[in-house]
Amino acid sequence: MSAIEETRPDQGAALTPPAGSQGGNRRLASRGGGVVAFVILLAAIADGPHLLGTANETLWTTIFTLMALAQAWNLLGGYGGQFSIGHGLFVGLGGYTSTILLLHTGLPVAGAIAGAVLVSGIIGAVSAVPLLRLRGVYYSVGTIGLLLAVQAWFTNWGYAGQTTGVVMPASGTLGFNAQYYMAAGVVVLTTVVVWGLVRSRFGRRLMAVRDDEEAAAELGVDGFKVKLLAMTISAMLVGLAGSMNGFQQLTLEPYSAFSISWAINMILACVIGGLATVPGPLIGAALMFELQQRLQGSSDLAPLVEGVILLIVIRFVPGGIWGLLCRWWATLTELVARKSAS
Amino acid sequence: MGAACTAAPNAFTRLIQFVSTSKTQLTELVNSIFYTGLYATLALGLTLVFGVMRLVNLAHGDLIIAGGYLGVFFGVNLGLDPLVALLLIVPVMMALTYPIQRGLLNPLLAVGEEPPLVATFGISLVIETVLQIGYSSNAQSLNPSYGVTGIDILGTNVRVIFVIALVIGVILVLATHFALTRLRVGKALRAASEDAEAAASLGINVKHIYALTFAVAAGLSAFAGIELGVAFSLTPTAGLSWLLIAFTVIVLGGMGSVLGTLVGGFAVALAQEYGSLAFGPQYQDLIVFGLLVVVLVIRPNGIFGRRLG
Repeated sequence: MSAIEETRPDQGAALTPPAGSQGGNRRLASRGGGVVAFVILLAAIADGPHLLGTANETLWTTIFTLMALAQAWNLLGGYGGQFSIGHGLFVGLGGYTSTILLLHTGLPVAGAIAGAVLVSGIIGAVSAVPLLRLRGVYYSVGTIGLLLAVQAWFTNWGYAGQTTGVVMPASGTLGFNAQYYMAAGVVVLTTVVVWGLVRSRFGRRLMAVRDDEEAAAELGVDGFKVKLLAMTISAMLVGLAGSMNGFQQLTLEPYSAFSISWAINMILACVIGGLATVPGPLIGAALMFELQQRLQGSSDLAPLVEGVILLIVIRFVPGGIWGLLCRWWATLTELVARKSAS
Repeated sequence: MGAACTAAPNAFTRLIQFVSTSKTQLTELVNSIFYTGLYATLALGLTLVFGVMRLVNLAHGDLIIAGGYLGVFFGVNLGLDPLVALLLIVPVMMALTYPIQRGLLNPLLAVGEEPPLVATFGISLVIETVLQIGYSSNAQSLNPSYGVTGIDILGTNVRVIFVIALVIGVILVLATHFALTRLRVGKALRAASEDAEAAASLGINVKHIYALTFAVAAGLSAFAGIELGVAFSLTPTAGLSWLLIAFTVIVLGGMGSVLGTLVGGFAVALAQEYGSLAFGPQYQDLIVFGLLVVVLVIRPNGIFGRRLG
C-alpha cells in the first residue's frame, strides 16, 4: 500500500501514520503519541471505580477491553499492514479457553488467563503459516474463512457446549472492581507492548516489510518471520482481552464469541482514531463506545452514524483523528514559532 | 480430555457409514445442480468488482439484500411480481451505486488497497441500518406462487424458484462473459482490469468504467436478492452470511473469473449437499468455510484461474 503512497505523495496516505508539514512533526507524532496514549489511559483509570457507580464501572471495563482489542489489532493491521478481518477468532478462543480451563481444571484465574494467551498465541502462529502466504485482500478473505470455520466447529463441539456454549464457573465469577482493574491492566499492558515493539528493531522491520516487502528482503529482513511474530503477538494480546470479555460476559456462545463484528469494531476504532499510531486505537475505541452509548435510545442509528463517520474519516481525514490533532498541533506550533521569531 | 475429541470420531464414523452404504445419491446431485444458479448469481457481482478493481466489496451481501428489499417495496407499492419488478430494481440499484464508486471508492483506490476495503465496511453498515430503519429487523419475504410450488425432476422435488434461478444464473453468467469478451465496453473493462494506466492512455475513461462495473455488479446482485427473498427470506443483517457464501464460490471458481462462478457455485452446492449427507447437516458451515480456507491457501487463484472473462 505504501508503494502507492510514495508514488503519489499528493494523494496522501489515508491509512498511514500522519505525516506533518515538517520532519519535526513526524517525530512528534511518534514520540508524543506514546505520551498521549498513556495520558489517556491514566486519566481513564484515575477516574476509577470509587468515583463511579457499578454501571459506569462495567462500562469502563468494556471500553478498556475494546481499546485493548483495537490496540492489539493495530500491531498486525496498522503497523504490519495485514488486514485481518477474522481477529474475532482470538477473542473467542481467549474467552473459551479461560472459561473451559476454570470449568475443568483446578487452575486459578491467573492460570486460566495464561492458558488463554498461550492457546491464542499457538493458534495464531499455526494459522499464520498458511494465511501469511496470501497477499493483500486474499489474506483478509482467508482470515474471515478461518474464523467462520472455527465458529462452525465450536457450534458442533460437545466439549465446548455446542451452540449453547459455556458458562463461567463460580471460581471465575469476579467482582466488578476486579474486572475493572484487570481490564485496565490489560489495556495498559497491550499499549506498552505495542508501543515498545513498534519503537524496537522488530517494529522498524515490521513497518519496512509493510511498506515494501521486496526492498526489506534485500536488506536481509525475513518478511514472513517478522509477520509471523506480529500475528502471534497480536493473537496473544487479543486472546488476553478476549479472556477479559469472557470474565465480563460469564456465558459464551459461538455466534457472539466468534462474531465477525469484533474485527469490524477493531478496524473501525483504528481507522477512525488513526491507524498505525499508538493513541489512535484508544481514541477511536472510546469515541465509538461513547457514540453507541449516546445513541442507545435509538440503537438502530448507531451503526449508521458509525458507518458515516468511518466513510468521512477515510475519505477526508487521512490519518484519523490522531492524525488530524497532530496536524493542528503542527500548525499551532508553527504559528507560535513564527510569532516569536518576528 | 476424552470428551473433547468426540466430535471428530463421530463425524469420521458417519463418513465411513456414508461411503460404505452410498449408492448414487441422486437427490443431492439434483439439488446441487439447481442451487448452482443461485450461488453463481450471488457471486457474479463480487467476482466482477474484484476482477476489474482488485476490490473486495464487503458490502456485496448488503447490496444483494437491498435488491431483495426493493422487490418488497415494489411488490407492496405497485403490486409487481418480484421478477417483473427487476425491470425497475436493476436500474434503481445501478443509479444508486454508480455515484458510490465514482465519488467515494475511486479516490480511495488511488491511495491503496485497504482504504476502499474499509470503506466498503462503512457502506455495509449504512445499508444495513437504513434497511433496519425502513423495514425493522423482522424477516420479510417475497411470496409469488413459484416460491412454494415444486416440480419433480428425476424423483426429486425441486422448488420452481430454483429452476428459475438456474436459468437466470446461467443466462447472467454467459451474458456477462459475452459482454466482457465481445462488446466494446466489456473490452474496455478488461483493459482497465489488466492495466488501468495503459487503458487510460488509450483514451478509456477508467473512472467511468470502474463506476460502471460497480453499478453493473449491484444490478446483477439484485437478481440474487430477489431469488433469496422468494426462496428464503430477507433480514437487514442477512447480507454477511450470503457474502461469505459468495466468497467461497469465487475462491473456488477463481477470484475475478466470471465463468468460474458456475464452477464455484456448483462446487459449494456439492460440498454442502454431500457434506450434510456424510457428516450431518450441522457440519455444513464447517465444510463450506473449511473448503474456503483450504482452497485459498492451496490455490489462491482458484480452480479456473483469475483472468477476467
